[in-house]
Amino acid sequence: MIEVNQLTKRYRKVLAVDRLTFAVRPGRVTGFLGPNGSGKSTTLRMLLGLNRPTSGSATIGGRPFQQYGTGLRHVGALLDADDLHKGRTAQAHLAALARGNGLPRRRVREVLEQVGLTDAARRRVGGFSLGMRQRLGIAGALLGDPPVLMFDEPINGLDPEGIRWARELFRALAAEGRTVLVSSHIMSEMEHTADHLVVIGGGRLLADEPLAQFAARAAAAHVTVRTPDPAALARVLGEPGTGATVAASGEGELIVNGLSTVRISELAFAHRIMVYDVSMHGGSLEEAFMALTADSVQFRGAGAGAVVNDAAHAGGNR
Amino acid sequence: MSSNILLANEAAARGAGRERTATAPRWRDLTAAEWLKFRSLRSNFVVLATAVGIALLLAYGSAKQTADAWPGVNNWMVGSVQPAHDAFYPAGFFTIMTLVGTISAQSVVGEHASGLIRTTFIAVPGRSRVMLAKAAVMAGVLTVVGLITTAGCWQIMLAEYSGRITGYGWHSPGTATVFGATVLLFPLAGLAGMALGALIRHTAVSIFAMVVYFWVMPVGISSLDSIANTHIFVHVSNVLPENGWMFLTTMGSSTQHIVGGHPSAPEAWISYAAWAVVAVLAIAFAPRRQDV
Repeated sequence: MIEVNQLTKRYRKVLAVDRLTFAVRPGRVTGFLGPNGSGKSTTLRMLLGLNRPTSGSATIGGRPFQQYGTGLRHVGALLDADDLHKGRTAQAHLAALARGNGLPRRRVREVLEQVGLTDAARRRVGGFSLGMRQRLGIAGALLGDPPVLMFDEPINGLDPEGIRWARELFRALAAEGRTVLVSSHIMSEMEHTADHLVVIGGGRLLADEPLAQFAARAAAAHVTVRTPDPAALARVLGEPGTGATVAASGEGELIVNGLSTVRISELAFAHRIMVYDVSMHGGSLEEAFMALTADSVQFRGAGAGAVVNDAAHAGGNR
Repeated sequence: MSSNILLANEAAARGAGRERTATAPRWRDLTAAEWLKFRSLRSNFVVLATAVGIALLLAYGSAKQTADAWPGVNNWMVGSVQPAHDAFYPAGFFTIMTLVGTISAQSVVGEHASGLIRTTFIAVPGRSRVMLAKAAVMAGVLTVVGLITTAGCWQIMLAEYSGRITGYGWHSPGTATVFGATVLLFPLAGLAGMALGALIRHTAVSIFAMVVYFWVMPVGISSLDSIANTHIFVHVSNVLPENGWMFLTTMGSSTQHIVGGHPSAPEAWISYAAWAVVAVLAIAFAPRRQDV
C-alpha cells in the first residue's frame, strides 16, 4: 500500500507537486496519469526517498521508504531506463544490485529470463535499444520479489509485442496481490492495463477513481454525417422533437449531438436525403483525459497548421 | 510468455502477502556489490594500469638520469641524493595522484551523471552505508595499486642505481617511512577525490578540482604568502598531504637542510589521518540530504 498525504514539492519558483493526497491499494494495477511536467516523476522520486518533500508525507507499507534497509525486497521501481552505467553488461548491472540486497545470484538469471534478456545478458548496456533498457529496468524492479512495484512510463520504447508483454506482466503482478503503480502520459496505454486511475495535472490531484468511473466521463460523444444536402438534413435532425443539436462542420458535413447513428440514418431515409457517411466520434478515455487535464497542460505545442506551414517553409528554403 | 511469467512469479505470490520486516543491508553485501560494480568497468583497470605504467616509467627515467650524472657529482652533493624522489619523481607522482583522485571522483560523479545513483539508492536507501562501502572498496583497491607501484618504482630505482650509487636497498634506514607514506597516499588521494566528487557532483568541475588539489596547491599555495605579505598559507601548505609526503619521503640528513616552513614527521602523519577522516565524513554525509 502506497500512501501520499498533502505531498508538496517546490523547486525555487516552480511548484512541482501541490498538496497531493492519494492511496494506491494492493491487488490491482493503478495508473498514474498526467501530462508532461505534471509532477508524476517528482512524486515517485519523493516516494522513493530520492527527493525530499517540501512538506507532506509519502509512505510505502506505512513507513517512509528510507527506513527500509534492503530496498529491493520491499519496493521494485523503474524510474528511468537510462539510470544505469552504459559500460556494464546487463548481468553485471543486476548482479551488483542483487548482491547489495543479499539476494542470491540465481535471481539475476531468473529475472533476465522473465524479461526476455537472457541472450543479451553478457552484452554491454550501452548497445541496448530503449526497449531493451526498459526490460532491464523492469528486471531490476523484479529482483527482490517485492510486494510493491512502481514503473515510470515503462512502455516507452517497447515494440507492440513488448507492450502487450508488459501489460500482462503488470496485471499478473497485481493478480498476485502486489501493489502496482504504473505512470504514463498516454491514456490509451492505461486503458487496457489499469483498474484504477490517479490523474494529476499541474502537481494537483484531478481524479482518483476506478477506470469504469473514469470511462463515464467519456460519455460526450458525437456523430458526424456527410451528405450532399447538409441544409436539408440539418433541418430534419434539428426538429424540436429529436432533442439533438446540429452544427455545420466544413463542406457537406454535420456534427450531431444527442442522436445515435441508427436514428440519424432512419431520419435521413424517411426524408429521402442522401448520406455518404454516418460515424461515431469521441467518447474515448483519451479525450476524457485530455478534457480533464486541458487546464494544466504546461508545454503546449503550436497548432497542427503552424507545423505544416513551418514544414512548407523549410521545404521552400532548400 | 505469459505462462512463463506466472510460473516464475508463483513463488513470489506466496511471499507477496507476507509482512516483511525491514532489515539493514549487511556490510559485506554492500562492499561485495561495490566491488562488483568496480570490477565490471574495464575503464577502471585501464586507467589504473596506465597510472602504474607511467609511475614505473618515471622512476626509470628519473633514477637513470641521477645514475648517469653520478660520476660527475661533486662530493658535497653526494649526501643530497634523494632515492625516494627518483623512485617517485614528485611532479610526476602528483600527476599519478591526480589520476587516482580523478578515477575515484568519477566513481561518485559518474553515478550521478548517468543517473545510476537513483537505481543504487532505490536498491539501498541507506545512502551513507552505500557511500562508505564504495569508499572502502576504492581505498582497498588503491592500497593494492599503491603497493604495486611503490614496490615496482623502488625496485626500478635500485636497479638503475646499482653499481654506481650505493648504500640504498630494501632495508635502508627510513625505507619503511617512505613506503608507508607512498602506499597510503594512494587511498588517501582516492578518498579526497571521492569526497570532492560527492560534494561537487559535476564531472568537469571535479576533474579541475583534482588538478588544483594535487598540482596547484602543493606548489603554489605557499607563494600566496609573498603576494599577500602573510605567513598563513605556508601553514595551509604544510597540512596538505602532498607536502607531508614530500617530507616523509625525504631520506637521510637532507631534512635538516630544508629551509623554510615544513611539517614535522608527526605533523605529516596527522595531516594524512585528518584528511582521511574529513574525506570519509564528506563521502558519507554529503549525499544524505541531496535530491538526486
